[in-house]
Amino acid sequence: MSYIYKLIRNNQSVNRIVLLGWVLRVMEELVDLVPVVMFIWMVNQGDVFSLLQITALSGLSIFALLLKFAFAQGGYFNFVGAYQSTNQLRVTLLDRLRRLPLNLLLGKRSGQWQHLFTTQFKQFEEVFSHLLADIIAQLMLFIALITILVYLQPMLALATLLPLPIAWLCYRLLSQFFTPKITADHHEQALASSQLFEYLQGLTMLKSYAVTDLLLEPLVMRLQILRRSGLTLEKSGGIASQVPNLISQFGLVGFLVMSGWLISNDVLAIQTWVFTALIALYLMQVQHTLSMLLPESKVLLSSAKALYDIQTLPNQTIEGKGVSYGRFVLDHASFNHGLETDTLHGLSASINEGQFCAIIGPSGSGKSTLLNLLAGFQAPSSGSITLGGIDIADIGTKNLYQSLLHVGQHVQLFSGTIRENLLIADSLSTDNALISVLEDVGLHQWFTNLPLGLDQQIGENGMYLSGGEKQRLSIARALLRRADILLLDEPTSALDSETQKTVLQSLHKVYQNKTIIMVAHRLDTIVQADQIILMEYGRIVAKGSHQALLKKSRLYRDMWQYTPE
Amino acid sequence: MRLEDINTQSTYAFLWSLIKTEHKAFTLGLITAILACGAEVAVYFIVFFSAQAVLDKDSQELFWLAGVIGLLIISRLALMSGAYWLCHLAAYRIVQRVRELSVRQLARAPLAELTKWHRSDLEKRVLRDSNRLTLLLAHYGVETLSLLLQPILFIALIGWLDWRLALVALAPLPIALWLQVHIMKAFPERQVLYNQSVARIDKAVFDFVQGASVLKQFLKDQDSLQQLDTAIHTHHALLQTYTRQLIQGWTSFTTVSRCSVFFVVPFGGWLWSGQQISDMAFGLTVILSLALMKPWLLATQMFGKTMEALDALNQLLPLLNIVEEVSEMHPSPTQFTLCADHLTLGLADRVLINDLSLELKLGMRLAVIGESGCGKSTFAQSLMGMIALKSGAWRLDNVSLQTCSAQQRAQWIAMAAQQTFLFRGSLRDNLLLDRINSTSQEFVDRVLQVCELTSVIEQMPQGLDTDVGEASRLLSGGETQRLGLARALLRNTPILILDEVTAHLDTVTELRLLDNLSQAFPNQTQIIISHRANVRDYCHATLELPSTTFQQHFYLEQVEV
Repeated sequence: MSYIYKLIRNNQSVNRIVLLGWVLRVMEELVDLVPVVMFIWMVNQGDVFSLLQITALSGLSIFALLLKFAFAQGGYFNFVGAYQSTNQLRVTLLDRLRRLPLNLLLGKRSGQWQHLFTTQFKQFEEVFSHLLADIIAQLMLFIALITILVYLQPMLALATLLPLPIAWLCYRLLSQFFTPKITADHHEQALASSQLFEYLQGLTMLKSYAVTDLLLEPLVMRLQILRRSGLTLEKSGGIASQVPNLISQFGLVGFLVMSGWLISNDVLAIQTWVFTALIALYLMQVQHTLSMLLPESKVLLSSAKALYDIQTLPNQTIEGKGVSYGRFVLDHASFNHGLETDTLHGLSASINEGQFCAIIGPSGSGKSTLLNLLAGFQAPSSGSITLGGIDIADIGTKNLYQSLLHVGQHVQLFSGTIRENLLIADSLSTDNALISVLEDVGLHQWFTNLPLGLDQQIGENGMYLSGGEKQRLSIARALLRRADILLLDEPTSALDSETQKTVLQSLHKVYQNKTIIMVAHRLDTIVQADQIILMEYGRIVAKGSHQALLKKSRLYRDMWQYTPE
Repeated sequence: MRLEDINTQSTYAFLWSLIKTEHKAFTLGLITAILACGAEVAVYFIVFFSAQAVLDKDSQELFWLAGVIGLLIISRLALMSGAYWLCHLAAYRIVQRVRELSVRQLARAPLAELTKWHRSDLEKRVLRDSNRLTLLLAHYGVETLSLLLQPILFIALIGWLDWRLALVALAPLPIALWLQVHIMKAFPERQVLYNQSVARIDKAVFDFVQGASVLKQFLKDQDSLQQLDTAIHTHHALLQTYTRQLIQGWTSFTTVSRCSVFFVVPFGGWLWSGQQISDMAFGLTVILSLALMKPWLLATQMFGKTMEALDALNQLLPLLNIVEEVSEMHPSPTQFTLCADHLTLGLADRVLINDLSLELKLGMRLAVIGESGCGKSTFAQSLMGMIALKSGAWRLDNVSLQTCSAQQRAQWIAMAAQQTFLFRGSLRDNLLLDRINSTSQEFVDRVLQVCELTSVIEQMPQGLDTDVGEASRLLSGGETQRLGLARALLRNTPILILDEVTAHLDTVTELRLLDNLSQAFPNQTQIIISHRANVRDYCHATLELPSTTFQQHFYLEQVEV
């Protein structure tokens, strides 16, 4: 429950609406007590009622019913307030998401975020709009009934309520077994989902080799495990709700035993007994409802925790200080994230403003990781990286990405039109400017053949495009952007050498006198570089111009030797 | 449960045939639920009888009744839990089988059919939507029955106390029925609109989350969030309108469903006043009528859940109804001469290759070259049967490949695709697939050598038994591609297709690799697709595909061997 509170506490105006909704909901539930109290009053009077009195009572009863109807309208505030809270929370959390370091947003992580913001958020909304009000209303009714019971006959009340603490303890105890099952089932669902994705992804390959069973059989096994974990969850949920329910229902047994004891001591009037019996039965109904609602809320609340956990992740400064231009200086920058290829050991280097710098080295030497650090996707675990004398983390992402652009190996495009995908780089570009950059990356011919031209849809993450087309589209975007610093991670790996040449020429033309840092694997593309940083095993082994490296590095000489003309 | 046993004609028939597969569990569950309802009513009976005992001041009788109530409470909960458990078992089994059927069906469906589906959409249909079916079958079966039965038993009990009271308690029933029909009419339509709005927001959120990294870099994240915020506000306004429209009907419904007691009390009071019923009978009627109409409320939810579950099944039907590919068993070819017979290929409305005919004898190598996007991969995929041909045919010794089963085709043709798909398991699992035990180590070593992977594998912590997850961190793009090549070579098929397998390699390694290939497998027909023209030096024939505009026709050059 505390997670819900923490998630919504910053929302005063909305909270008032929800609160009003809850109060009305409680009132609605409590109106049910009117006929009960009326019954007690009538029987207590012990009189014979005249027709007039009966009519008056009927009027009162109908009035209570209308009151109930009026209170029920409060459901509107409850729903609308809850929707508003969750909608605002959604925006707040998405705002939090965009402040995360970029490495947390990329790759496999993006699937987890989608799950969190759709499925799990929906669960949270459900608790908030429906379940919570029900639980509160039932709890209030429960308290009201206990109060009446105590007022009518304290001894009988004691006997009826005696099993409650035991039931509560039992619920707490069983919840301890139940809660891990929720996590386990979530985990199983995630596993099944990722295994299904793997299967779907590999299906083409598997079918072409006629070996679908290779992944199908394990997947079917996984589905069986999923069924079992679902049933385990249901079972432990059922036990956690029904055992305490059973114990609390034994209040009725306590009630009868105490009644027996009281009448043997001759201290119980039959009317009082009837009233208390009535309230005790009502209490049992409410307990039953609560026992169903509480474990259900537990499942849904685990989503609230997952949402709350976003706030514990690192937060990047958006509005930072200073302007991002000038020289990159790496001072013993190291990075270690548990993965072997991610490790960098004490890198020191400087890259001047306007320099064309290439990063090369065998695969797994940490080139991409270094580029990610320079792009501010993540911070070095020790040492520092500064730009224009200011630590990259302090510049603020808004300032940093005003002047820096990273074009990665994994091209990221939107499901939308070509125009939309290009305009993101410069929303004021004319169509002519867009066509001209497409020409610069050698996509002009391709583009003129498209039936809808710039308005052609490219599908989810450019599904309808080939690898080379995607790469060139993302470079076209970079050409439009004209950032001060351009970071390129093997930008032309899917292109043939002719196209590659055209594309790189355009890039160098547009980014003349701007800083370009490029990870490359074909040396012929970087001979002109002002500085080449050669990496191996997460360390910088040599740096300098092409000529200088030819002289001083054996590894570079070897690599150059295998480069064709 | 086999697909053949399941009626997939319509959604209702589908649901019914699914329920029938577990009819025993459901029937038993429902009987148990009826017994549980009986036990619940019995509790009220006992309390009623206790009143007499209190009046008679018979405390022994009360202790005895307390024991009976204890037993009734235990048996009621046990029976109810049993009913739920039986229905849960059945429901989970059914849903698991539906999922299993779906994934098996995916394996049987033709590839050309599969590519029409989006992966996340399939995942949603198979795993997530089907959860609604669990909810319906596991919970609502028992609940509906107990909900229908409970009021009847309660009314019977009240009627036994006094028939006039029972009539008064039932008085709101016609209004409830009328409201039920009335509200239900507007409900599904609004539900659809509501779901659409939710789906729109979900998609917008999905797009934002997916694009967050790009948006951030282009400083558009704030604008996008602003847009999303506006969209969510619009959505909220819509929700507000729907809630306002529905709340009147809904609250009438909830109020009516619980209004019996408000009529019972004055009327009961009048009867009691005329000494026609006892204190206890009056009291019991009040308590029974409190909960009397609650089932109607739950019935409404039940309706919504059924609609959702039917919708989930509806999502799966098109998947289960994909027609299986027709395949004939052909005798194995002897010559393995591969022919393209007036082949026309294209994607959607675009024709990429028009009327191509060529013949490759066993052991010939064909280079397929051309610019990015000119249809090289389409060419390869057509031979693999992954896309439909526009016209013409692929033939192997005059047998049309289109009529072959996937199994047979796989025996004759293997392809190393542009992207190598690695699944969880060791490198060995990934390379040998289903032939782990039937491939000799010598052959594996030779293939690794051809693919220049020997030293790469040696550097792995456990060699070929290294887990893929660990290995893929140590592998470069080029090495991963060569693993795909090795996998295709290990099938030892007469025909091999290499789709841009050398794209990630520097030219020296590429040429060395092609050299290795031609020497190690001289009798294999190889189709080598590349965007680099120099591969033609290693081939007997070259197919140069036209660039998208300049050249209108492909150029086929064949060198006699």
